[in-house]
Order: sequence, then C-alpha cells, then structure tokens
Amino acid sequence: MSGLKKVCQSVVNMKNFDISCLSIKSLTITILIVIGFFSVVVSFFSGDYFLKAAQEAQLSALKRVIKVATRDIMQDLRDQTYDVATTLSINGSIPEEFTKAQKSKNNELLITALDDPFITGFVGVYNVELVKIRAYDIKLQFIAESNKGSMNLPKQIPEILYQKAYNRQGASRSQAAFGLWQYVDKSYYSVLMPIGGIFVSGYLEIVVNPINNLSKLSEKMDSPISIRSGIDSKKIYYMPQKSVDALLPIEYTLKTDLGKSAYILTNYEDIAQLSKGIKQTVFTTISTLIVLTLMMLFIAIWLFQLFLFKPLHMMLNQINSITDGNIDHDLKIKGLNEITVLSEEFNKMTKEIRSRERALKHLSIMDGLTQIPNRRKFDEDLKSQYANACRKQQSLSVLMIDIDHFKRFNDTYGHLEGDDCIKKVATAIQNSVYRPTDLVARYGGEEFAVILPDTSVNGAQVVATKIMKEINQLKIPHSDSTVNDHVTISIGGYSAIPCIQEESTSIVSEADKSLYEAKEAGRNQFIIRCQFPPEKTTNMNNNL
Amino acid sequence: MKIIYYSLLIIFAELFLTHTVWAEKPFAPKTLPGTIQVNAEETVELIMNMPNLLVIDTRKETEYTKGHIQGSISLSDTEMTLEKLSQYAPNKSQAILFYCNGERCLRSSNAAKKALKWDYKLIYWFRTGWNEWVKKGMPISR
Repeated sequence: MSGLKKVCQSVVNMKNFDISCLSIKSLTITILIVIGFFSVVVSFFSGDYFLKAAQEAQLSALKRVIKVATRDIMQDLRDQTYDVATTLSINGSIPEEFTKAQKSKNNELLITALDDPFITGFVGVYNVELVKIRAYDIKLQFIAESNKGSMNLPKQIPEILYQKAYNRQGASRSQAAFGLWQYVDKSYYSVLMPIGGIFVSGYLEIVVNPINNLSKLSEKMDSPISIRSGIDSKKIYYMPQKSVDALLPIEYTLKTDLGKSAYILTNYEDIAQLSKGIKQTVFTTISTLIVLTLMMLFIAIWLFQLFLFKPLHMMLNQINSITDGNIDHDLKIKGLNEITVLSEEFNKMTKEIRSRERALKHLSIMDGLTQIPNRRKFDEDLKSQYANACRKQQSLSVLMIDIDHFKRFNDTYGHLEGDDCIKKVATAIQNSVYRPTDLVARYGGEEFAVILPDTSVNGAQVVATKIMKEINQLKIPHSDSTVNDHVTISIGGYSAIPCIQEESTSIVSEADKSLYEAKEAGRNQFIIRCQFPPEKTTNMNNNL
Repeated sequence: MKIIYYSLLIIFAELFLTHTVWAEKPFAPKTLPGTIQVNAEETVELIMNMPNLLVIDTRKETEYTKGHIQGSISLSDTEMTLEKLSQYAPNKSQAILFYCNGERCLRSSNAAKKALKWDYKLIYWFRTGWNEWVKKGMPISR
C-alpha cells in the first residue's frame, strides 16, 4: 500500500496534478468505463482464442473420425476377403484340385481352378478387388498361383503372413491369417486360409487391392479425399474439386502390419463450412457477454448515481448554503450509512458553532461587571433605533447618567466598593425601565445610558424621575460628596424626532450637553431637553 | 384418492412389466455336470483326432446353412428326440459335441442336458460356440 501511495504521490508531484479537481462521480464513471472497455476488448480476444481452440478441437476430433472410419473400412475388407477365402478353401474345385496336384505334382488344373473366380465374375459379388489367388503347401512353400490378376507379385508367401502362420501347431494351424503388406511400390491385403478346413493340407492366399475400399472413405466422411502411396507419396486417388486453399487437409497414415507406411489418406474439410457453426456460437457468446457487461455497467452507474452521487451533490449544495450564512439551518440528507452519519456529524458541528456564536455574541455586548449591555450594544441599538424612529418619524429619547463625585467615592471607599456601587446603580437603573424595547447600557466608567424609543420628552422625564428615585432609595453612603451624604446621580437627556441628515451620535452629544448642564446646575438632578422650539427644558432636582 | 391409487398401481405394474420385457437374455450355465467343456482350439483338436466324434449344431437350420463347423450336423435342441439322436449315435458311448451361438444361447446346454438324461456317456460342450469360432478365424464350412 505504501508503494502505491508513493507512486501516486510521485505522479501527482511530477505533473503538478491537483487531485481535488476530480470529482468522485467522474472518477467512478471513468473507472467503470475503463473496466467496460477492457471487458469488451478481452471478450473479443477471448472470442478469437475460443475460435482457434474450437477449430483445434474439431481438427483433433476429425483426425479421430478418419482413423475410426479407415479402421472400419479395413475391418469390412477383412470380413469380405475372409468370406471369399472361406468359400474357396473348404468346398469347390480348389481343395479338390489342390489335393490332386499334391499327389500328381501337376499344377495345371489347380491353376485353372485358381483362375476360376476371376473368370466367373466372382469378384462382382463382393466389394473386393482380387489381385491374385495363390496356393501353398503345409510348410508354406509356394505351389501355384492364378494366371489372372497382377503378374508382378513374387512367388513366395508375404513376410507378414509367414511370420503369423509359420511354426503354428495343432488347432491354431486351422486359423486364418491376415495382413497388409507391401511389394515394390504397392500395398496389398491378404488372407491366408487353410485348405481343407480343419484337416489342413495346405494354404490358400487371397490377395486384394484395398484402394477401391479405401476410396469409400469419402462417403463415410462426407467430404473429398485423396490417397497417396505411403512408399513414394504418389497420388493414387484424388477427389477435391475446389481450390485446396479453401479446404482443411486432415491426414491419416494407414500402416502395414510390419509398421511401414502403406497409404496416406487425406480428408479435405471445407473450412468455411467447418467454422460457420463455431463463428455463429462465438458471435452469440461474445455479443451476449458484451451486452451483459454493458448492462451491468449501466446498472452500476445508476446505483452509484442513486445512492452516492445524488446524496453527495445535495449534501454539498446544502453545506455551501450553510457556510454562506445560513448557519441556523440543518442538513436534511438521508441515505446510506456513511452519508447519514456524515450529515448527522455535520449537524452536530453546526449546532456547536451556533452555541459558541451565541456565547461570544453575549460576551461582546454585555458588560462584565454590571451584567447589563455595554457601549458596543448601546451604539448598535442606538443606530438601529435612530433609523427606525427616523423612518417612522417617532420621538426618540436618550438619557445619559453619571454618578456624582464617583472619583471621590473610589478614593474614600476603595475600588472594590466603587465596583459594588456601580453594580447597585446599574441594577437600580435597569429596574426603572419597563418596556422591552428600552435599553440600559454601561456607557463608560461611572456613566450609563438609556435609549427610550417612541418616547417623548414627557415619557423621558417619567423614566428619569423613576431612576432618580430608585438611586436615592439605595442610600449608598458617600461621605465625601458635596451634594449629599449618599450616592447621587445626574441625568442629561435629549428627546427628538430624528432626521436622516443627522448622525445617530448627535442625539448622544445633545444628551451629553444636558448632562453637563445638570452637573453645572449642582448635580443630583436631571435636565432633559427637547428638539422642537420652543425648546423646553425640564430641570428637576432630587427634592422633586 | 382412487385415481391416485390406480395411477400408482399402473406405474408399478408397468415398471415390473418393463423390467420383464427388457430383461437381458440369460446366460448359459457356467458349467454343466457330466459334460466336458471345450473351447475352439480344443474342438479343432477333437475333430482332428477323434474321427468318430459327432458334432451337433443346435442352432436353427437357417443359421447352419450360412456357415457351420466342418463335419457338423444340424439338429436343434427342440427337434432333438432320442429317436433322432439314436440315428446318428446308436451307441451310448458315442462321443457327441454340442454347440450353438455362444454364451447367451441355451440350445447347446439344453441339448447336452437331454443327451445326459438319455444316458450318453461322453458329451463335449462347446459353450462359447459359433461366436468364438468366427472370432478366432477358424475354418467355416458351408
């Protein structure tokens, strides 16, 4: 595996190939198409191989067929020659003349008797071509032969028959002997039959020419044949009509009993006819195989599309949408196990992100000490409320609150007491505001700010009065204050109907001005000014 | 139920009958007590050395006509009576050889049994018969 990984890395590095540009879908489909292509190519090659193998098998089968057919013909020849020999050797003139000739030593009548089968047309009865009929004595010495038939045969028993019949004793002398043998350039088939049957007095040899019988091989094989001599390869019999190129020659060598080549038999099969059936089979097999392979590929691609590519594509789209800002959405993908798990895990992650985001947002807008909104929240809120009021042309009031002589309070009671004081004041202010749209924020060290949307100067006065009252009720001791013996606050407010030309901060600076005025006027009081003339200013001290 | 019963009965009957019909032809007994069993070579030796031997071809006459052992007479087992046999072998000590087509032919064994019953003393039985004779290329007489 590490080897494969290295190879992949080297390929990727060498070509600067970015693997991420490949999608699972295109990679899978490419792999499947490559597999399909190779399957088709392999199918074609295997078809060719199958064709060759089938032809070889057919050739081998045909070789066996020609062998069996030839043996069949030779067996038939043997039976017929044996029949002829049986007829001639026990009854009729030959045994009689043979006995007489043995006694008188005169062979003339015997020769006439031996010629008789040739003259009487005896040959026609059997499908054998008689070549010679010869007589031997009990010791297999030549006595006489027919004048008819071939004149060229030697006047002695063929070697194979001599080997088979010589030195036989008792009952075996009565048995016939058979043999295929050669003389000069021709081959002959002989049967040696005892004359007189069981009471052997000599032997009769029937010599036949097997060519006529062998030529019937063509009928048996249902195709043209040629016969060549096994001795000098001369053509003895030739049948093919067609060009030899279009024929497939199948050879079989018929051997003599002594193992020499007697005849070379060649059977010519029509190649086109032979391969027609095979080609049809190969074509059907290969076509079926290819169709099945392609079907499997399409099914595989369809299944991949259904269970992998489509859910992955949907998941990617939804993830894109979520990462583009819709963090509040969840993935809604159901599919195979891995896809469902991936989807669920992704949803867990987005849930965690949402929770952390909420926590961060809370931290960013809340003041750590007082647990009320901070300056940032105030600025954001002011901006949106200002715009809102501007659009609706409603009054917007802002109150700026400052703890009187807070520096002295810190110096007198320490910073811890100072922090505690700020907390209490913040809580008191928070408690004085009822509406959910109202916002109390810590503006600076000991400064607080209140946004009162849709509130006129009168409303702002009510709120300011309430705040003043709450603070006074706290009675936080402040010995170093010039205003009172407990902590007091000054409030500066400004109420206006905002217009689009001005910044939202203008209302804060106006409120700041009011606060400054309140402080100048002796602290522990609120001054809320109004935008519209006649500018109405309300001054209220803690005695009110 | 009856239909099933009869169907089964017919099937079994058919199986049994088929078996009977298709049964192979039985073999001749391996041995026949009281006779001397010989093969083709021994038959030839007997014919050559025992001039008095009576060779009986127990096959059908048509088969005999096509070819037979030299010197044999045709007398099938069914036609063989004591009277007929006595014509050829008046003496009970006459040596007789029976043959038919081969191992699956029961004619020669049946004839030999008959001859034994009629007290013939010297009976040769060529059990493998004509098949072995032809197979070994022994002379055929017509």
